[in-house]
Amino acid sequence: MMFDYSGLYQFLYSVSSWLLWEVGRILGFIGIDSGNILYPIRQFLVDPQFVYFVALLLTALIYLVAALLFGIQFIWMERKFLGRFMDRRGTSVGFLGFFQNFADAFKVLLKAVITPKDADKRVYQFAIFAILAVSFMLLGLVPWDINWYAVNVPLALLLGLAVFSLAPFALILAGWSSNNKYTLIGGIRGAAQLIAYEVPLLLVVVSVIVMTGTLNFNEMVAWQQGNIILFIPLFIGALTFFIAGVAESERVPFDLPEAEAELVEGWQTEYGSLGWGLVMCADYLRAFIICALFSILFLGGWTGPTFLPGSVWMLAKAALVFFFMIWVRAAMVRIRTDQLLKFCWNRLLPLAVINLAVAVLIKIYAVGGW
Amino acid sequence: MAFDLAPYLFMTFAGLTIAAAISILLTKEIVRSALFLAFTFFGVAIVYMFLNAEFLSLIQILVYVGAINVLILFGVMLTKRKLMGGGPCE
Amino acid sequence: MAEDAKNKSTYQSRSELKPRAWIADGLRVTFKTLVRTTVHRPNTIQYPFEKLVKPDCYRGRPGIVLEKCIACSKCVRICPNRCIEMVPIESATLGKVKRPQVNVARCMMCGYCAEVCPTNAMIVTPEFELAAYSRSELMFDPFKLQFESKPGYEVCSPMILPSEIKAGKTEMHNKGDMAIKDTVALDAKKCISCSRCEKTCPVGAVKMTETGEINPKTNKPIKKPAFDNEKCVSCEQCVDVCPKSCLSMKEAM
Repeated sequence: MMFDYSGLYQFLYSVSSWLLWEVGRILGFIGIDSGNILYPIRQFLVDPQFVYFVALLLTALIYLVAALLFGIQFIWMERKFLGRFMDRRGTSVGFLGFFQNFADAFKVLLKAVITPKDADKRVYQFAIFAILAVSFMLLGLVPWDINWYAVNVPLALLLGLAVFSLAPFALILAGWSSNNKYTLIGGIRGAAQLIAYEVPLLLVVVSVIVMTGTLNFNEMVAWQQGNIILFIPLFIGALTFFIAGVAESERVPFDLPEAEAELVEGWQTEYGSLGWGLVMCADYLRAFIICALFSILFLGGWTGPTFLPGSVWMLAKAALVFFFMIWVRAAMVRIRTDQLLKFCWNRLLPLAVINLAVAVLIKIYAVGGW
Repeated sequence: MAFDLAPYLFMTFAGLTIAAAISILLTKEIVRSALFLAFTFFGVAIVYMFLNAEFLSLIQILVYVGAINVLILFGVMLTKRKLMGGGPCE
Repeated sequence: MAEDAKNKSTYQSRSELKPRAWIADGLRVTFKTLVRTTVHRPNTIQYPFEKLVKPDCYRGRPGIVLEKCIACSKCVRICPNRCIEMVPIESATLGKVKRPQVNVARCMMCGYCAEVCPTNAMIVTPEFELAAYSRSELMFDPFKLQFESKPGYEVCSPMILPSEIKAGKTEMHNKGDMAIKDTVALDAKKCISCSRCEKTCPVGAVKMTETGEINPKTNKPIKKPAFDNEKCVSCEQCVDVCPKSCLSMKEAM
């Protein structure tokens, strides 16, 4: 059998059509042929639309597993690098400590599911699903190579940011429904921070859109391959995007929503067992999505020398940005709430506006007008 | 047999939107009302999708669910509970 | 002035709150650590697989050299945790004797027992991995307590008396020096010449000697104990055993 490796969809379509064809053959082998009462089922299995549906389901499954594995892998990366930054070893189970996180995941899996006594149970559970859905959906939006993506819509960037902006809502619901003052404070802080830092983030993204003239990731990367990697002209914007992205993913030094010294674990305090594990995974996934967006918007995505496949370049660039996030986490202290907001409105917003002006000027004078 | 799902899907989502809108009014707990409001906004965004207005639909999600709804939740959280006829804050 | 600047612990000038201080410096220091720990190795010792080199004078669990022990039970007296006990043992070379048994679960590894031991039979060993599955396993009887002695294991810390420091002396006394040894004093009026102190002395430093007086009732010479301070190890066993408590320790200080 020959599979089509040119893209994720083509690959999965060929895999599922092969699979269903084999199933049909087995059905024919056990005597279901034309004339049999079950023959329409066999016909239905090899119908192109059904094959396409199975391919879609396989994509969803692969993306779910990939999201969880990404989460685990980046937790591992963070723990390992933080260890080295702090002159210690980090995880040490298995090869380079890689299986520590799997052990932790299994431990979390085996815990009892507990809902706080006076919690609003429905909303409490809905919040987990909202956060997970919002985070895992983002992974599907990010293309890894020119043909490897789950969805490729013309408004991909806008869709991604729309999905990203849903997080504060889920956060505040999670904080409120747990019926605990720490979770509530954490949720409100988280929502305030996420809303505030969305403004510079969006402005920087607008400057990228101005430069490339598209909202589609593939076309953005194609523009960067044709012209220049956007990190060089929009250096200020890249810096602003990185800082805002760190704040958006609630990481040090902007981890006020889960300041463990004052708020126990922030809005996640009352979540336990698998719920907490998935939320943790989604947290790292969001951080990683920010890194992937950074590498698409500013570093040219899968652009790179051809001795490695494009997806490897993409992953390597995202991991490099994530390394910087870890570095920042190791080096900095948590800042106060007023400093956080002052930093956003006094420093980042002007920087983003300057960056937008730079982008517009370059677009008019250097790239050659509208 | 060309079976067009679109009208049925539209009816389903429109019905869900209307149901969410009605339950905003019927729910006693104000935060749940805000949650249903978010569902309503979502439903409206999906209806925009059916009208081939993707950009508007995404902006609907970005602005209404992402910003206005959170603002409403902030308002709820920062208001004293006595004003709304509930018990005193703990 | 320069030392003051080095030793300050709080923020003193406004420049320390500038981004250069709390962003750039932190990034620089952590990156240096990353490079160092990646090129060489982190500071962590992977304990069960690799161990730190112990110093020569490391005080682990106590050990004993059975042949040297004279059963003076000074270690029993000195032990702050009362974890040493004299138990009777029987062996081919020594016969029936008493030797110390240590409850290692209670031992705090202070090494006092080895420090007071007059014959250096009690030693400190470099063993520190003493975890066991039950408490009875931690009761180290004299045979289990045995350990081969090496020069570093014996605790012979030289001493100096406060009075000598006052007098301006600096030279130290070794274990068993006459100047620092507590001696036994006899109250001859109370003594009934039972000679138990002679029998109990582990080093044979007590001898019943005739005083020249004669008991008028039995017409036999009265014997009183005489102490050989050179041999004495100040173990206080004779003091304990005396029925009329006519012996007492006279401290050297």
